[in-house]
Amino acid sequence: MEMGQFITYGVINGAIYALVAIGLGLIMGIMGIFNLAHGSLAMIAAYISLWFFQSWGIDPFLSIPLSMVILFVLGIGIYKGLFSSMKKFSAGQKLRNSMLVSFGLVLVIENLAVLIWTANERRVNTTYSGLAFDFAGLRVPYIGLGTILLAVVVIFGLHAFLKRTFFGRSIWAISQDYQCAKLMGINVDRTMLIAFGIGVGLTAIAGAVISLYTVSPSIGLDWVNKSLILVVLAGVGSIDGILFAGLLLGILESVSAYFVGVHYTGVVSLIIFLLILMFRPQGLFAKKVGR
Amino acid sequence: MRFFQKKMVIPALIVAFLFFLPLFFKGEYYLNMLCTLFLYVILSQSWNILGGYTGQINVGQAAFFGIGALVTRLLWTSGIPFVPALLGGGLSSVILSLLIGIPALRLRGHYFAIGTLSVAWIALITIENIFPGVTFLPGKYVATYSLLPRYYAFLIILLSAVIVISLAVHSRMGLAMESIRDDEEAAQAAGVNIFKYKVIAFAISSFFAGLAGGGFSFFHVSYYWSMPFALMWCFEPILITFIGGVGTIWGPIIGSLCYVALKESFALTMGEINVLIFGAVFIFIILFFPKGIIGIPEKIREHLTKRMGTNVGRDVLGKSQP
Amino acid sequence: MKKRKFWSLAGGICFSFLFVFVSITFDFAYGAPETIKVGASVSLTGRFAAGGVDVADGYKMAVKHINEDGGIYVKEFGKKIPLEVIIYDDESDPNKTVTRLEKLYSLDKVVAYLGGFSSAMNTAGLAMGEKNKVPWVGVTIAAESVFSQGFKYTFAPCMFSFMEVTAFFDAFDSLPKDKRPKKIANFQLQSDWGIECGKYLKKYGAERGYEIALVQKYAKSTSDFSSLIMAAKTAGCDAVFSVPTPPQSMTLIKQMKELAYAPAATCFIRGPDLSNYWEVMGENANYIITCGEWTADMKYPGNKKLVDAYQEKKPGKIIGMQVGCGYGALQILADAIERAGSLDRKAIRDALTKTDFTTVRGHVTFDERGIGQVPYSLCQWQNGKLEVVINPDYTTAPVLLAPAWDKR
Repeated sequence: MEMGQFITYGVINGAIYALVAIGLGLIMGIMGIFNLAHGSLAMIAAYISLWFFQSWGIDPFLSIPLSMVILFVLGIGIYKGLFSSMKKFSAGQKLRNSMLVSFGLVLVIENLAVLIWTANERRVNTTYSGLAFDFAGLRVPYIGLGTILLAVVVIFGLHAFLKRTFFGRSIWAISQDYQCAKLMGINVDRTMLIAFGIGVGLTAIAGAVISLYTVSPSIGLDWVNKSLILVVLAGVGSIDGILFAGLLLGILESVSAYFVGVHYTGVVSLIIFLLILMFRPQGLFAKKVGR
Repeated sequence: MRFFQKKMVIPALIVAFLFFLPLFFKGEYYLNMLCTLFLYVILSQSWNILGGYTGQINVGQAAFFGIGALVTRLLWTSGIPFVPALLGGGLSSVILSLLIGIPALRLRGHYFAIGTLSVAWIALITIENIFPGVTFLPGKYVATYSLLPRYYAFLIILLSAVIVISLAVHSRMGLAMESIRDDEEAAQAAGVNIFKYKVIAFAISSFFAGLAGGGFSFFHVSYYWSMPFALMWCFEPILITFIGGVGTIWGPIIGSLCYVALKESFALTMGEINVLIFGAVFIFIILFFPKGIIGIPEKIREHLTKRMGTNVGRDVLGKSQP
Repeated sequence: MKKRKFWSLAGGICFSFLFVFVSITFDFAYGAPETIKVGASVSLTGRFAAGGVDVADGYKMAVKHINEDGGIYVKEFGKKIPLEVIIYDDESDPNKTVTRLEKLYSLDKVVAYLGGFSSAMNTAGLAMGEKNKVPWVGVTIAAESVFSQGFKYTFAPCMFSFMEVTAFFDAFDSLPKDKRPKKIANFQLQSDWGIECGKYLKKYGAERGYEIALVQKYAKSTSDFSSLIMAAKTAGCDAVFSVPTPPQSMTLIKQMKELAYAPAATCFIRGPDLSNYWEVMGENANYIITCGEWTADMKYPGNKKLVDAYQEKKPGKIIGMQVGCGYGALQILADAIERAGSLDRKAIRDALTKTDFTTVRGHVTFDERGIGQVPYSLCQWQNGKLEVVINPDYTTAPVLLAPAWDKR
């Protein structure tokens, strides 16, 4: 029964990791842009959810569409301002320069957040915070269940979007071969712009969930580190793989707490990640991206 | 490689100036700033040989910096004189890099990057748990603490790093490394032993990172054991090298200078918004000088010749020639 | 091409040095005896900015009140000289703390240092005080081991690990014998003072008849405490002690609620002492015992003046614990400077060892290590207010035991 509780929390944590990583997976895996500010954008999204809740009492799960729109617009602005000049760069230079620019962006966003909201930790405290379903001793928090459902819906939804819609497939096409896609008549610039906006908009979902836990201006980089591990574990370019990689990581961490103690779970999950990387360097679920 | 070329004059003058500087500026603050600057230059140069010249982006430099600091501090505070302790620190970093490198260097591109980041992260968590406290200098060392030996230690480590790395990149070995960076498959087809050169670059890189760590542990009176393992030490050398100009000897030097000087002057004059402004300036520099600061003269020249309407320095298609 | 590179490099070097020198000299005030300069490196940005800004506010407020009176009377010059506190941002980075303190020493020529916020920065800072032989007075440092190095120039008028644990057991002793918790769970943070608290819990617990039934370790980066909570629940522990900082202090409580674990007494030192804890946690913060170094309604001399002045300056902001602690630290320093009769650093240091003064957070003296002998104090969140429940001078409410979650 104890192990069941550990696994439950592992699944919940994994779902959160996956939700945060999915936007990064789209932007980095498919567009080749290394956005270090991804975690900080999720942090902004969390503050926006907090603001909706405190000003108008809107539940974070319900305010997701609203914050998605705000973040989509923000994403487009960031792309136009910072990353669009990198279109013509080689893959290596694009990765490098986008990493550098986004680092500057992290500093700007984090410090703006401190100025606006102060450095104190905050969270959204709904009526159901802390409450849980009780299945014969196994506790499943309401928020946790909501997170898992959200993760499944979002990730499979995104995967379907990328595979089944024309727009989604044009994003794939661009990632495979930029010139070819252009020749095929795809409006590459506009597609990239919107794809980036979607990638950032996705952080709104992660942000809503994070706001139910805790948010402070400095959480950005920690989330990016975790997300990077997930994106690589899943395999750069794989979208639904991120959910499974996230669940794997979450469960590994929770279960290893039982064996090595909570203070070493980070090490265990990282070691297993490295071992997987050694034997399957392209990631668990990689699709050939032709990079 | 001859040492008495004309282009050596200016660097030699700068080095001489730095050696005699403590005679004019005795202030602790200046020495402290210079030690900080030297530390960043050493760390960035060490990163550059693997990342800039051999093309393997290593995001785990903190592990080597940290091990160097840890071993040096342990040896030195237990009575061993500083220089052997420092070399012990450097050596332990090299051993670590061989242990990690031999499996890790089979990874390519961002997999290597994330893999090394994971290693640094593992090191951080482990050290935080095994050494959760503070390391203090023994009383007698505190009583006789002077910044001068620290300054010269950093300066000497810096010079040896720059000299060794320059020699390495200007030799056949350097040629092999750059060929690996430019096109690994082609290099392999041409008969270059990729693995061997990657390992050598990694070893040199970690050795100097370890020496930098040793310098750090010599410099600070007290600090938490886990501090030199913090992940910022992974990111800063990469940022600095790219800002300065990756794959050049001057790049890390210029980058460190700008990073340290700018950050310090902003922090002292702008209060709460200093990091915000620094971030904005940082973004500005990258957007307008994508090749780094070392590419500024080229950019200015490009700009000027464009305005004058000539095609000097451009090829048939109007693209500028390096 | 190479020539241009050289010139741009030379230009870059000159420019950078010039920039730094110019900005430094702008700050450098000539004519020092016009004010008494003390300096601090505080986290105004970065992870620790919340507490850092509070500490800085405390210092600034104390300086303002002292200068309203004309300043500090220095016998050597036979007059009152205004006090000036120079505060630099260390960006929550101990490396920068060292640099800032060197600047304060060699360029600004301060006569004393004040501490920053949190152990990481303070540990680096107090060592600078010892090295430069500049007296250092700071708060928010709680590890006894840090103060057992034989340093002569460092003073910390705040509660240390062994004091917090003593106060914790005092809280239990204040309850009727049959209501006292029997089995204590120690959620031990793997930090120097977390481990120290664990050591004292065991030692004092044995001396005072309390059982530490469970010890579970966690790290600063831990975000999932379910295994610790389940272990405590299974072992039947009716009290929990820990020293979490935010966000851990919030996650722990949330998960305790999710897992339906409600020990009669929860004592979390540090995290819940933040002024906005109730705002963030709501009713879930009820009954949590936490650090009690200073609150706005303690009746020590000068406290009301501090609180009124702060509320005027920052209306609507709840006053944080560190404002009072910082204010108190500066009061002690000012008192020592006056008793020293001169601006000589050693004289000030000697005067500090003889401190016997009542600040806004209570009466302070120092032992030979520089550890402050301050009132052992704990607070408890009760219905939205941080009540003082353990204190030798003023308590505002008794210790309350917590019922189960669904009965609150």
